Amino acid sequence: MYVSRDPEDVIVTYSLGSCVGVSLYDSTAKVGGMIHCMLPLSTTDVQKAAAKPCMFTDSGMTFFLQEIFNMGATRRNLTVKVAGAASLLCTKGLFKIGERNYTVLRKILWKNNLLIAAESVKGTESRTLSLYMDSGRTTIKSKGIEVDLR
Amino acid sequence: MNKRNEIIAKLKDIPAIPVSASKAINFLQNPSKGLSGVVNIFEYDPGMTANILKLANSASFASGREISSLQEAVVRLGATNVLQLLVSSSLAPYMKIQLKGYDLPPGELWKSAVKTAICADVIKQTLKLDLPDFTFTAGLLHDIGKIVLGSFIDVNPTEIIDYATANGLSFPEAESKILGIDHAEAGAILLRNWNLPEELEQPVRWHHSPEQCEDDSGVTAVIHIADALTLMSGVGAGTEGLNYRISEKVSDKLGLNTKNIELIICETQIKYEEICDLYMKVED
Repeated sequence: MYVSRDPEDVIVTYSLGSCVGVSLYDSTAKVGGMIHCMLPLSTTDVQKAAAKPCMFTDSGMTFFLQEIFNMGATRRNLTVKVAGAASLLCTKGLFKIGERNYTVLRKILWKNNLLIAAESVKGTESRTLSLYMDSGRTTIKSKGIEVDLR
Repeated sequence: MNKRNEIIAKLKDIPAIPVSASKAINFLQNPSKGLSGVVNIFEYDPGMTANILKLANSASFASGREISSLQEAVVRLGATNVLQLLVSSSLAPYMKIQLKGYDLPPGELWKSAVKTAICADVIKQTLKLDLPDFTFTAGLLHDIGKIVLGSFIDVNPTEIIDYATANGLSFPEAESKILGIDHAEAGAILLRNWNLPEELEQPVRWHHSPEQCEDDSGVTAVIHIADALTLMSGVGAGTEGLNYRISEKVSDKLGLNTKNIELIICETQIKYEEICDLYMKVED
């Protein structure tokens, strides 16, 4: 997780597979940040979650939102963009960690009255998510091509 | 020359790994030779000895007094770890290259090799499997065929991905259709050229189609899953992304479920973060 108020920052999370990446940007307070979560629920390993809360979508997002609000962001001005949650070719549910990450994320955003403004999720693509702090522009790079996420 | 023959010809041009690494790999197949055997492997390889001593004294392993002999390093790190480090430092230069054909930046294939090897170890421990020590080596080597397909041959990955998507195939299946060979088979041929043990060839050859493998030691099954979980974590996923198939039969046979898979991913990530730097610097 990384939060910033420096307009010169470009925050990047590389190669999201089944992990979920979330960018938050408040265009009024000019604060933003990004998180990269690997597994859906911190109950998988409570001890490890205490040491590394951002590894899990539930504890990571709760912590991330708290941090961004502490920096002056408000729910009303917050733009949420999401990427990742891909899956391998398999019908078996137990490997659908990407989808479970996404479900948990939606639930937490819903509880916080936040809507997803744009997303590039699921499928088999590996994605790199970038947030340009000067404008809040958010991009996705996949298969060598970078496009705006909007 | 068709693509398949071109690739097989290129495989012959790849220089063999150092003799000490080859000996270490053989030793990991048959670790009953005792401590003195391990030290003998390094006898004529002073550069490697220096590397091992540096690692033994690094923050990850060091506890107190600096050690200066190989015997002490073996005692501190354990014979298997020392051999694995030797194999790793020999393979790193081959696998740290950029793979344009897969759109993998320099170092990414090596990271994925290390993470898959660590994951295989974690699977072994979590599921309490009785697997040979060379499982780790198999993890390091599983994608070695990509160095040929991704750098020496002018492969257009978009063509392969488009073919896979249009025909409902996985990436390796499409590789086979378009090039006449996939990276798994290319890797197995390379290991044969290097005279490495046949048991090691099996998991490399069949890591994307483990149901076709005759190996019943379980190594291939574990490498198949470790590779899949590594790709899911985003490491080593190039242009082809997660376009790989998981064998449900293998997953069932190993007794995988949601709980143990997530524990394996979690534990692998923590171990990887602890030792990734060490392996990335290993041949410096």
